[in-house]
Amino acid sequence: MPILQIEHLKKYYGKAPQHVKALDGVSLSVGKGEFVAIVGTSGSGKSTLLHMLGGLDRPTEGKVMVDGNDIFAMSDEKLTIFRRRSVGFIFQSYNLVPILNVLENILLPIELDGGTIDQQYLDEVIRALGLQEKIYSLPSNLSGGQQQRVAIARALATKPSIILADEPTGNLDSRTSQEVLILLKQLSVKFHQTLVMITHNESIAQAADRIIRIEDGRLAGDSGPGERADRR
Amino acid sequence: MKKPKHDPKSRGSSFIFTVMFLLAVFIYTTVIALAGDLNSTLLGPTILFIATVLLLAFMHNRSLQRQLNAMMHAVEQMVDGAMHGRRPSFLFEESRLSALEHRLFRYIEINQASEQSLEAEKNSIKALLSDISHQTKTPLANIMLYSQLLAEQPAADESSRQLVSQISAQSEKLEWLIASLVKLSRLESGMITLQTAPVPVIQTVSRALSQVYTRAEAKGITIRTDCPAQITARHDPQWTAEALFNLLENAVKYTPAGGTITVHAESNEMFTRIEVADTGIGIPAAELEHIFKRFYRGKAARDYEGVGIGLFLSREIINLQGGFMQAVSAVDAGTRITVYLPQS
Repeated sequence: MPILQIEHLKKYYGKAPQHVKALDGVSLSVGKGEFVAIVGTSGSGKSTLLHMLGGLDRPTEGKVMVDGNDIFAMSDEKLTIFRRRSVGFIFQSYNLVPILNVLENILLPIELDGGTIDQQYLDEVIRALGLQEKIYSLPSNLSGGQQQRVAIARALATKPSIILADEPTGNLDSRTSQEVLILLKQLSVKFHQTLVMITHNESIAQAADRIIRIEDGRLAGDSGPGERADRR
Repeated sequence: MKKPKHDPKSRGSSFIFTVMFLLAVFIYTTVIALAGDLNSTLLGPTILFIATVLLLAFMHNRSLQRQLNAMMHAVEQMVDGAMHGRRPSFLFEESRLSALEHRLFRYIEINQASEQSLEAEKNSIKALLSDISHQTKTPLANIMLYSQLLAEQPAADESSRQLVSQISAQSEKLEWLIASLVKLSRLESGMITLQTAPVPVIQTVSRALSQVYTRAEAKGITIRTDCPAQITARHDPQWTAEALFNLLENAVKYTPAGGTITVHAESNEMFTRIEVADTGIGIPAAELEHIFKRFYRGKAARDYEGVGIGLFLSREIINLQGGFMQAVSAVDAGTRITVYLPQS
């Protein structure tokens, strides 16, 4: 059963007839546990698509179904809660809170949700990302790769079922990019998460099980549901 | 830590209750005050009484809220515990919470039971594989022995000798395949645990290289290594050497005479990477994503010896150590396989 299903998704900015078609009728379905890379040039609509998937922005037309529920049929308040619990976001610019230390940054989404902290899970995530010795450091004292690893830990903290990553390695050199990518992939397999990643870098996209191409707001290519050769 | 917020519905109803309660107290006070003609002796006890009622109501409300919070907290911990398969506390109490806990663990038990039966099925398949491998060993050794004896027969003519040597070659291949399958099934079923420790990779690399060196030399292939002695990785030297050997063996096999194989190691933030690059025939892009699959062999690879298990076994070994393997290739230019091993 697909975890994400997109039907004829359209997003127009501005008023007709001068409107800009950021997305122009995209239909797609992503299976549970899949690792999908969305590639396309800048302005192709890939970021808009990712924002719709995470409920950050409402479409002009069309549906996004997560686990069979139409997320845009929800009220704004419910959508916010859905986002906080089911979706983990990772951005190119890390978006860490500079005055909070690593641990506080990671715990932030849990505290926003008012939930209890699952220490065992948290330790596992921190260890897997190699952040044990950095938990009391401030983000400004970390390298780019380390900051992005903190952002990954934060995205995983609420145990989301979907991870959405927008150019997660965009600010990193190619070696660190590889490492961050490997960690993302390993963790999403370990915690049974679906990973959707935007990138304009073809070699980064190669790590995915499936590559989807977006051009001018339309689906321009889909390598098809990937085989889970390395997922166990 | 912040307290969980109440949902709007319950907040609304508790607000109405508060207003109604305060209103009732207010009306009562007014009636008493008017009825007693503002009798000063009555005023004192009335104010005291009202204050006590308000305080008690407030305290009761607080204690209810605290109970609710404690219960929600217990439920959350229970669910988290259940996700990690921790045992329930089993406080058999006459409470709804205890009943809920019991139900939740029944549900988890049922899930675990179906998981266990799947696991048992998987294990029986592994056992079968292991049995087949084990039981074929002796007959196979016999076939090889007899074919050797046959080859030594003075009466045999040239064509018979050739057939006999074919039998030997095929038997050897079969023996190697079975040995690999045994290794795989043992690794997969956890019969072998990898002993990982942060140690220098240079010994591991040299161990793998020593096993292919003569073959590479015979084919006129140059092997270059660039592996600084201080580079370490958390790995099991014996098994990792086996994984690297498989990569190197492939590199030697698919690189034409006069080619070069480069082994390069370097450390980064999280991983140590070991690259094995060759100048061989390369792998077409369409086949690249399949090369790590069990028994997969590329079209061009069919002209070479092999069964397509080496890369699968290598990746299994690397993955079990928390590592990762990646391949980049271009047809007629060469292949580069990168092994990532965690540093700590």
